[in-house]
Amino acid sequence: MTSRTHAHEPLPVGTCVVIYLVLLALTAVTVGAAYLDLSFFNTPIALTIASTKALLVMLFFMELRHSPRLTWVFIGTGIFWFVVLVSATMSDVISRGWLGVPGK
Amino acid sequence: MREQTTAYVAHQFDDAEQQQVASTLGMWVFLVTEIMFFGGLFLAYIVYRHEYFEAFRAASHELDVSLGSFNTVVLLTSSLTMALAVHGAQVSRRGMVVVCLILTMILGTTFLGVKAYEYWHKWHEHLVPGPGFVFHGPDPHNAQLFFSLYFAMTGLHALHMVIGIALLAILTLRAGQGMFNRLYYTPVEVSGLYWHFVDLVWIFLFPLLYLLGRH
Repeated sequence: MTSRTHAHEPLPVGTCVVIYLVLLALTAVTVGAAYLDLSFFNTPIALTIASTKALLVMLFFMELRHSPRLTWVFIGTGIFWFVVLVSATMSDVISRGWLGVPGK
Repeated sequence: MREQTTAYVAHQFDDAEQQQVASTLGMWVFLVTEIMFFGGLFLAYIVYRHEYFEAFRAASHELDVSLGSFNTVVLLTSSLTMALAVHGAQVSRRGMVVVCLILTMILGTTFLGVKAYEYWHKWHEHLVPGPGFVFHGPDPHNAQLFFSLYFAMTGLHALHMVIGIALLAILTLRAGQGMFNRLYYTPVEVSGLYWHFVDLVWIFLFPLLYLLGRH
């Protein structure tokens, strides 16, 4: 019997360092991009870079690549919950002024 | 091999594989509740930033981007050393585990030190919400909201780091005693998950708080 604890090869040190360097580069890009006036696009770009960094940390440092799909489902529910929380709340906050209050 | 492996398996599990999968899944379930925990604060930030964008933009300018960037690099480096500690355990190199865990703790403490300096600086500049709050930009009343969220979010994040450093201290002692090897390293792995999660939160906090409307 092979133990699950060494069913997959440990993340090689070289890969760790490469991911780390990519994360540093992305940090430099996000700081640089923040000083450019991209009007509407500043926030989406910052969040895209942050999400990319988060994905790299999760896939490699947190070894999500080798995690059972059940773990992916659990994490997916957490992210789905957050998306529901924000979209439901913001649909109210944004649309609140659209219609007048009857009787006011 | 079988004998060595089963020595680490608690009686409720069939084998080491089932035990390891259960432990990491359990840690991820905890981290999902952490997403919900921080999620409420992120939602508050999104709502109030939408409502009072100019106040948030002006207040964000009071934060020091170079200190924030420095701390981002420190935390990313600590994630690297944490990943290397897990690697060390997976290849049964005790010295590598201990050294990497100590480096991770030093980097975590450095982060907290910079954070403490930033807090002290904000206190000194009367930017802590409350009766002493003084803000010369537009809409000082709502700028207080930004600083309330800044202290709540970074404070909760810093608390997680303090807990993380305490966990790593215990882990370092156990690693020094040779408790972990390629057959059993689950505590190192799940503590690593926790540490990386704290890094993930900062990855989003940094652009949202420090880089907002910097252009």
